[in-house]
Amino acid sequence: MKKEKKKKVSFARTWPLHLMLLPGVLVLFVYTILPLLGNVMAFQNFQPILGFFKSKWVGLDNFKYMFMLPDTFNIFRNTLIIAVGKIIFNLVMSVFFAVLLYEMGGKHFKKMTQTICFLPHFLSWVILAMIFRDLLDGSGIINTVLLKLGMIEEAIVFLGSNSLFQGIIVSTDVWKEFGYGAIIFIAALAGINQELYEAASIDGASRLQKIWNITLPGIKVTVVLVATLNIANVLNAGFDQVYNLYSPIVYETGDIIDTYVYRMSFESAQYSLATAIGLLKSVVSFVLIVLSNYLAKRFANYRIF
Amino acid sequence: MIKYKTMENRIFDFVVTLLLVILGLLCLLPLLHVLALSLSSKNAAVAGRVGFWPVEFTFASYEYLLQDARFFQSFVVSVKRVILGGGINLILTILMAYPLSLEKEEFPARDRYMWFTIFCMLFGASLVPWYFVIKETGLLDSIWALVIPSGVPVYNVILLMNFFRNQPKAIKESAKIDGINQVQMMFLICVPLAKPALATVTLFSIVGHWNNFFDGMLLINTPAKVPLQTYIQSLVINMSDTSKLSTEQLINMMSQRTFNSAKIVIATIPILVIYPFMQKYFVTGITLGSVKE
Amino acid sequence: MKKKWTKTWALLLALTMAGSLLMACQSSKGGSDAAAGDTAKDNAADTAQGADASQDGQDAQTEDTGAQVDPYGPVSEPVTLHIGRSEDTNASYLEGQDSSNNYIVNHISEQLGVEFVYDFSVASDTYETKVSMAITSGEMPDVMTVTESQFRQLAAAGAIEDMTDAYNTYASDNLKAAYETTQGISFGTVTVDGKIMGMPNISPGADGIPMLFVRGDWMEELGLAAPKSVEDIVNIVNTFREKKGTTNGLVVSSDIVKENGNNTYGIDALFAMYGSYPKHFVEEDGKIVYGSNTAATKEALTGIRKLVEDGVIDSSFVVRDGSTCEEIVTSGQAGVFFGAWWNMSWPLNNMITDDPSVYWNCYLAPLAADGKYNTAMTSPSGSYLVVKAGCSDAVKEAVIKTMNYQFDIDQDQGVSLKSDPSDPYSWTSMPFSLLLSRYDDKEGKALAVVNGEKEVSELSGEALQWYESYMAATEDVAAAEAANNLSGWAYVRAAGLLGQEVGNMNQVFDASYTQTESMDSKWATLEKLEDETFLKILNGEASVDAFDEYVEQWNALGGTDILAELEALRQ
Repeated sequence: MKKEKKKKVSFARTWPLHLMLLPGVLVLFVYTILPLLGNVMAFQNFQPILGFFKSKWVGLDNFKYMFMLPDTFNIFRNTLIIAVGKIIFNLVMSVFFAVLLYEMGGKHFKKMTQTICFLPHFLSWVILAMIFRDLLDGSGIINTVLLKLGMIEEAIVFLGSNSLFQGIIVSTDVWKEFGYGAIIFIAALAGINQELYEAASIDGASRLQKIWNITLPGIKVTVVLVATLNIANVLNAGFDQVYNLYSPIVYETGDIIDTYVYRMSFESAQYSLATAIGLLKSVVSFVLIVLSNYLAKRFANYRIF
Repeated sequence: MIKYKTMENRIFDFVVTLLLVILGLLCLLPLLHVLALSLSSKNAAVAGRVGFWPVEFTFASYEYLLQDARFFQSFVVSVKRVILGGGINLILTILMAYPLSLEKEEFPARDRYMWFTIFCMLFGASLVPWYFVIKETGLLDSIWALVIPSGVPVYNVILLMNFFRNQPKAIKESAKIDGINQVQMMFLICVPLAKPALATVTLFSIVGHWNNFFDGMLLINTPAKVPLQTYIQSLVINMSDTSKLSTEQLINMMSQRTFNSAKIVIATIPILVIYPFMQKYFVTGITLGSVKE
Repeated sequence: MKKKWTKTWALLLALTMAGSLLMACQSSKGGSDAAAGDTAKDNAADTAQGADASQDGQDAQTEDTGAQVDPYGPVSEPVTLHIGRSEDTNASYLEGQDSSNNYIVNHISEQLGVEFVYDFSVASDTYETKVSMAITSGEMPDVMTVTESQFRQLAAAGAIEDMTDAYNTYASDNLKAAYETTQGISFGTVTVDGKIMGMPNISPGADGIPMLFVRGDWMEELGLAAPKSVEDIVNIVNTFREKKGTTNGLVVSSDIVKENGNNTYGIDALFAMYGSYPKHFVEEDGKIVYGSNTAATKEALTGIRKLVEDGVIDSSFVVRDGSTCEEIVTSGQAGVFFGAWWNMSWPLNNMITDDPSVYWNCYLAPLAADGKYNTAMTSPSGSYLVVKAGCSDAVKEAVIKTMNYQFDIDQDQGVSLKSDPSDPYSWTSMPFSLLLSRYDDKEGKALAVVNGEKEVSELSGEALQWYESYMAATEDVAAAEAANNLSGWAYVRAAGLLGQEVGNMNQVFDASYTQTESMDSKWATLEKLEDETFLKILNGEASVDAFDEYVEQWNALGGTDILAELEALRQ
């Protein structure tokens, strides 16, 4: 096999591509890159009245301040645990659900289940928090049932327990999002070559073996893609949800970056700090994505981007 | 998939069905509860007496929401936004995903565009500068403010790009031999083959636009131009600092339960209506030689 | 090829950056100049156009001879006010009217010869962001309400006008009297170098005084006497549990104390009994101390902790929020809680719909050792109306006079302006989103009814509404409920008690209500520490000795600085 000389692709051939990209790039540039200039706030002591140009420059002070706060370690730790938990379990559950549907026969039942499970995504945490608080209250249903069954002796204040809070946050979020998250995988599953299954049947493969050897590998690319994209969210543990479900007694394990910053900004528009943290989050996400892309290329031979 | 009615299949199917039923119920019950809340009297809702069935059935919350001329006004704005925004999103997504899906040999600048795009996805600017730029480009207080800044949904672009890339090479190669150019390749080959992915990204885009209340809140000043979710959101006061509210407002704020529920139900209905239609695109296979369900 | 592209991109980038920098420069530098110019132009335009308003104005124009100034009369020259305002999207209006065009605004506009234009009028949760944007972009409206920290920044930057003269000259007697009821607290925050730089709001002080609510019909049935001490309360709770099968005792939410008042389901009163005022900066031995850190508070924590242990307060309270507590109370699962005067109406009146025999009592309990009821008093002001620097005297005059009207109309609930008594009225119809009441407003109104101090014919507006409701409901509760006329009755009973017992109360005002600079950056951390510690001590997770450690940490993390700043401000 002779290696062909790499042909230099002429601009004449590629200009339509550049043109196709132009509108999108323009929009992204104006509305995402330009505002980034405003991130200069992270390095200032920003006062709205002074604007960007007169606010005092403080260099890395805002970042230093953030790291010296007594609770910084806790907040970061909580955020990571909750966010990573969500990413992993959401992924697993979405794939599981998508595969179940795929294996399902009845068309109508399938459609119905899919639609129903897809709906919780649309409920806002304000209302869901009310529902869960009722459920998990000391005198709520879950406690009542557990007490009756004799599984516990005293009512558990679920949302007040530092050992249970993170688990509750992750599981309720998975409940809310698995249906919606499965959509991508359902679409991906639709693209698997059916002949593979028939061939496997002829070879005498069981249902489980088929799933393991054909179905899952068939969507492996999509799974890796979604996982990688979600890594960008590793510092977004879900403000709405935590804010509506937490209370001071679980600050230890429940306070995340966003809720902390919110409380700070609320007292007195702390733009600089909020911007600094936003910037930090973005940098971390960027590093992680570059890393995972590299690792995927290197070890699994996948190109994600 | 031709399935034989073997014992194994029967058991398997049974387990699958059971699991799906459980999952379905887990999702359905709270939804029923929300629906019931929205149809119950305020008193019953506040006292926590509503289970899965309305208590003291009343349409009061819905009447309250719907009687307002502003409700319909904002509904129309939202519909406009979804169509306009969804359209723009789709076009820009396709236009960007295709070139990005090409190999470096065919399109050398590709990698740089790719990292630029990812960068944009990760580095979102904060409120004040973003607001500033939108103001200076003259979009403030118009529907364009709701559809242009968010015109490129990068997540969707990456999804679609991957999808394009994984399309069967054979078709593309044979088309190239026939002398097809890039634009034709995109429109005639890749896009038609990408229906499930397109349906997916369109759905995400529609849902995103429909549910978005935040940009409406910040960028629109005229009450008549406010989209539905922003309008509904403004009816429910979520302030933590209650000292600034008058007694009247405080009381209103405290009694939001049925209202919140009605709001969710109404906001979800259009999606509920559209989704079953889009479903068929998810379920239909596209590879050649498959048995259609 | 590659090189060409990079160069082009770079050029494009540079150009755009330069362009945006230029734009930004213009906005923030020339902002106030441009705006001042605008106001002048508007004024000129108005006079030139000879609108209806200015014609009315010319009729009653006051002579520039230093003669009597009419606080309600037309402004010396026609003015257009650009306003930034928060509004209540829930409000209803007459057919064809809305928040910027309604019978209230039109009336004021006509009377004063002022045109009200809203640069933005948005829901309260967006309002603060809009204000920040306005300030940052340098395009502030002439008038808007801001928070205390925003006020401080604006005053320090010289971005707002001095209102002292305007206030002294044009404020009506009613308005002046209202500010006097705040005992100098309101003006204390806005006075910088002896000048009044903004107009504070006035909230009723009654909002901040906790009251004890107990199921009256049950008390009567079980022959229970009015509670005076904590033991009485415990007794009531236990009796309810025994005889009425309530599943909850004293209903409490995780917001155990608040410095802003309106703390329904809080236990501020339980702390106050010990002379402890958490979250308030009070005076002790001539110095300012933080109420949550005093020895009295430690004592209070020990006492309340015992109540939780004994089950008088349900251990779930640490995670409960307002709506869960509301459920418990309104579904009859409990019969005792602390709340504000208006809780008598909401949510309690709801229960009467289903069962007219339900009856609630309110008390000021538990009493302190000296037989008096201790309570901290909240600040009447939290938001401030500011006028942009460069605005003319006429503008300031218009602002004060509008406030005069707003105060009167609100007291009256718009009754004298309505063409039909059933016309909708809402504070959001007013030009400024500034609540102007009196610090003693609620007690005053309630007493007027209860003591028969005024003749019925003299009552109007809210006071009259309360009177009518009270008379109707005392006669027949069910009928009044059906006619949706219960709230006044509830308010009179609660606020009336407050008014009657003023003499038996130990009203403790804060040594300082000001927010200092250190608070801006440190408060979130301090508050987190406090809330966590207190809740853990109360539910038994931490021992009371954790309190001492907490005080040390609080001081080290910035508390000492804050106290020092407060002392400095006092000099």
